[in-house]
Amino acid sequence: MVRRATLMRLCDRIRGYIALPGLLLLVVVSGFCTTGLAQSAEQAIDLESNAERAKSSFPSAAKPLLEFSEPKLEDRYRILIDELRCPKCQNQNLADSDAPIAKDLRRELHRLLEDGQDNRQILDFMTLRYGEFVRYRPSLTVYTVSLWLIPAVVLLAGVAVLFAKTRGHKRSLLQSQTGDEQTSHATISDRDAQDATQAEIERRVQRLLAQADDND
Amino acid sequence: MRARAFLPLLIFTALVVVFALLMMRRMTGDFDPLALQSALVGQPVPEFQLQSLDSAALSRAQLPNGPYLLNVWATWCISCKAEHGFLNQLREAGIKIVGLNYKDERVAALQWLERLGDPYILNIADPDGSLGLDLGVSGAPETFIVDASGVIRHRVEGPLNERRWRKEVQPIGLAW
Repeated sequence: MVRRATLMRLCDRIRGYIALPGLLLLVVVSGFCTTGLAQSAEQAIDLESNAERAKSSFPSAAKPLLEFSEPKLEDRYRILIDELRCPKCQNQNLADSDAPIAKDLRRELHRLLEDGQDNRQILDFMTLRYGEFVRYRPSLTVYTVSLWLIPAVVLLAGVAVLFAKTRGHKRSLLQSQTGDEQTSHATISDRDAQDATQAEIERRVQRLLAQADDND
Repeated sequence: MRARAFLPLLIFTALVVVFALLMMRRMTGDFDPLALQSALVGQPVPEFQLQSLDSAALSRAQLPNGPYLLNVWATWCISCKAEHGFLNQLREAGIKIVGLNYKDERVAALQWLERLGDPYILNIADPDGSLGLDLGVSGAPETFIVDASGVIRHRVEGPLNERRWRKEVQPIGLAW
């Protein structure tokens, strides 16, 4: 009983410690999730925002082998080969991959760009044939949203369970304390009863002995 | 209390069993986490203007009435050779197979068919892989299962064999 009580007191103390940091963590994680969602929604539509990143990831020496009629198309080509995944490779984009299919898709991309198609049309063209797998940042669907939301939900559930548990412990702690008192009462009354019977037995013995004396 | 002490061991053993089973299924080819279902499933075979291996003009209209298999193959593809025997068997069983000779050379392809037997009722020559691209092909061999209305119902990535035929193709329930 003593050990249990200490354990529960410890739980209570831990609860006191984690309440604030836990809440803070929750705020941070949910903030992260919402910005992540907002960003992926934004980026899904506007690839141009990524131009700087794509440019910096290409050293100036690495010129594309394909010739473009306009330098602007070449810039978009570089962004897109960075964005699109090689369908045959597990984790390589079209820019990195040497697979024949990546080569074909780069050539096709060149053709589509020279055709005057916009980024949205090009991404649709690719996903229609190779599925969402070809995009490193797939469009927002029930599945992709759940990827963002499930960790937050699990964390929330965990915190809720922890709070419910520690509260339950507190209640059971109170209950067990009153319970202890009751049992001690019971012990005392048991002992009383025992004492009573002991006295009764002794009385009987005395009576029997007296009778025996009388008979003699 | 004693039983509870063995709980971690029990959980560990259960995990070992699960992972071992998955690994075994992976080795037999029943489970492939890298396989992707084709984006073309549920779509009609795309339109195309190409030639047959015998240099006749071909378009989608010339494709047979389904169900049929659209088998992507090439002479440079080693697993296509392993698959070829089973395709011959299917042909003997009366199953229609259309070949898509993918990014290959005509002469080499014709020699291959002469040497290993020709299971195809028709062969589309796709030297640049343009129809392959419209089909979302990422390599060879790949086999598309096309139903009676010309709609792609399934794609088998990698060589087709008897086991995969039984497990993947037959459950679709087409009237072969």
